[in-house]
Amino acid sequence: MAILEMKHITIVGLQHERKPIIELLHKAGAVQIEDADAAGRGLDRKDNSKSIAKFDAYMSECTKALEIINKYAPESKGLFSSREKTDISNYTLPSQQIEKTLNDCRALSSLAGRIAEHKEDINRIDVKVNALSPYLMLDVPMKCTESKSTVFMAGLLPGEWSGERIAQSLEGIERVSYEVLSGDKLNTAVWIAVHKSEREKLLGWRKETGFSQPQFSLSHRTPKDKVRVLTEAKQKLESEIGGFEEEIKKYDTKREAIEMLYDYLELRRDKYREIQKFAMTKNTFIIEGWISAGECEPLKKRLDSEFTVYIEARAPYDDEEPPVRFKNPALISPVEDITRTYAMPSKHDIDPNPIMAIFYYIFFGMMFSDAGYGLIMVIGCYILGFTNKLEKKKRSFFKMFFWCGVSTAFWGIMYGSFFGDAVDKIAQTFFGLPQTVQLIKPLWINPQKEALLLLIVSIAFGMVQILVGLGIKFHMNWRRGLYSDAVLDVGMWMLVLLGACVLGGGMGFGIGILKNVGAAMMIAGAAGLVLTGGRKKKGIGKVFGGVASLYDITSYVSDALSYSRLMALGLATGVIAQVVNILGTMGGKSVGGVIMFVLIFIIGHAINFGLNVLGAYVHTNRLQYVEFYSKFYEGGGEAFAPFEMETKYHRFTD
Amino acid sequence: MSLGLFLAVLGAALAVSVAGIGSAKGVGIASEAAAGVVVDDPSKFGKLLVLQLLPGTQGLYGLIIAVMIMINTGILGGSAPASAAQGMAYLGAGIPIAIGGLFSGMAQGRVCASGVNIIAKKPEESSKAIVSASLVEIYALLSFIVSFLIVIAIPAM
Repeated sequence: MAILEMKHITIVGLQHERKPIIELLHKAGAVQIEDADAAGRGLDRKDNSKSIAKFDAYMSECTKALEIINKYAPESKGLFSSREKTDISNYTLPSQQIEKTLNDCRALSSLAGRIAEHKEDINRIDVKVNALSPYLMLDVPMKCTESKSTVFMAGLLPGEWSGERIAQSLEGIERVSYEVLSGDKLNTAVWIAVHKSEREKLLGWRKETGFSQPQFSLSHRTPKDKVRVLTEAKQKLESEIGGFEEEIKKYDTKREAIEMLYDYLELRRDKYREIQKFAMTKNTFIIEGWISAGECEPLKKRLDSEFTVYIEARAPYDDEEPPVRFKNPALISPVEDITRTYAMPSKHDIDPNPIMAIFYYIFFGMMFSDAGYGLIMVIGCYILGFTNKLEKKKRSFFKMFFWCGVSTAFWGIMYGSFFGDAVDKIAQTFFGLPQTVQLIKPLWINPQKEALLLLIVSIAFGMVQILVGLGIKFHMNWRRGLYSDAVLDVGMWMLVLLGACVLGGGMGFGIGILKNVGAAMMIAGAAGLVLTGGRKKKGIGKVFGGVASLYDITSYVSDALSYSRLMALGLATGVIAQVVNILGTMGGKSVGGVIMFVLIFIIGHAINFGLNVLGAYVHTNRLQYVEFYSKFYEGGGEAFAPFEMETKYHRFTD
Repeated sequence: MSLGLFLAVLGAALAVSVAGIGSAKGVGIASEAAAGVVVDDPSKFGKLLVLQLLPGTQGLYGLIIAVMIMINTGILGGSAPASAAQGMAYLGAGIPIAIGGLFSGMAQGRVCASGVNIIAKKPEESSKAIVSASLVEIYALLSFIVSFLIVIAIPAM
């Protein structure tokens, strides 16, 4: 229970055994490999960047192929699906299988490419058809622009033009004829024929009116005919796309093989990456890394029995900071992730998880505090956290919420809350129970009636956690030999806060002697702080430093008040649940009333559950991070990340 | 309806609606920022949802105070109708969570919107964004506690 002891391990092996040795380490997943000191020993490192880039490229081909398959033949996966199991023999795939699967990927990619090209072509056709649409009335091909003695042209006039307006504008030009083909507010399509002798005049007219001829290449078909041809082409392209899609769907059966290949490539790439950290001679190689003390001996034995190796394991030197790995019993290990997202412990820190877990579960329960909601959490999280539905690594989150659920149910019983006051409300509305009778009574207090007591208890819990935090700080300083820091900085504050607790208790229970003792402790502690707070400063700073250190009292007060959220969020759950029940039972004792009740009950409590489980989670984390860890936790360590088999789609098992 | 009841109802209305405005604005600001991230990476939706919902609590606190007032004054199943003095006290009880909720909700919304940036760039640091948002929350909680303590003290007046 604590932070695991780490050993520094050095493995020297022979080059011709390198492959089986690294594969053994990969499968064992026990060693975090560090960059071995090559330059200092006058040795080389291997540069695998080219192979790694090649594996990355293949992997992205696989990803792309899978994306294509998933687009046209989506895979149905449950919300809580886990990776499929596969036999460890798939660690190496036969080369012809790799080749075949990669070819499948490429075929898929080319099919997708052709679909994209076809779609572009269809777009182009759509643009053309659109451009031709004003000229559909024209019954000669647009390419036909002159006869023996006349010139024709079709084009657009900007704006709305009536026949009369066009005729007016053409005054002064002889031997001209025109036809309006179509028109809207923006453009009017016109076909004009003019005798060749008048061509110059028509050019002038074009400038005046802004007549423009089409930009697209003109066809030797009539516009209507051309649109028909284009539409046929589009239909053909669309049916071809359909064919490609069908073909892609057939690759549905290859999905598994592609995923397998991806995992295989990922494993190989990781292996190549690790090899880059080795120091090499022509015939030997050196691996350096970290291993937990417990796993060291078995691994050593295995390597010794199978290979010609030299292995050395030693405790870390003082200036080394080994990676950190937690090891805690089942009740505590789930909260390790909460600590991990804050920071990993430095080598001066103790493992905060065992103490934090207790507070975590208690505080979460106080904030969520409903037996019904707790029961739902316990059942749901039991299924997800303790059965085989999920992979081991994903279970820990739900294990944590399982214990939070137990605590929630416990506090629900203390507060007498089961889906709020659902039992009493149902009994009163549908079974005629008199209002004065209470079926479910709180085991301890009703938070709404005795909120003040609950507030005091909440802050008392907070004082306990703050004092425990300071106690850990005291212990850490003492262990490092910083005795004066432990006693004068931390110890004095503990005295002040303990004094405050005793004083508060004395006032609460009306015991005079406790008041005096508490006040005396506070004064003694404060005096100690004023006298010693400036000891590390020089000159006048010694005086001010002492007084200034007393000013920290504000931060302790605000920390303590911060725990009032234990009461506030606990109330929030209960009161909103009651509101849901009140709304639900408004329909009274009738068929409609029962239906309304069931609907509002389910929806309302689901919303309340969701919002408050989120609130409880966020605020429990905050209390640990801001109020508790800030008192003692230094953090800054590095998490132990062993060289192990990390794959996306499969789980390798023996 | 007596003047006392009217004032009490006014207190309940202010508590739920003004604190609700704060939450609505806060959730709105955070959600707009989150939508920008979801466009690029829909898988972050779950993490972002926490930040989007955090400024929503002020409205809930307002609702709790409003319901407590309604229960105490007999609008929702209770008994004693309020006197004018009690009504004024209920109105006063609604004020802390109304104002505290209004401004803390908006401020928390802005913190959450900045937190969305953290999740967009460094998803592994999301807990830090959430803790920052909860720093604002305490002031809404303090308002809520004061409103609550006033409400439960009034019937004895």
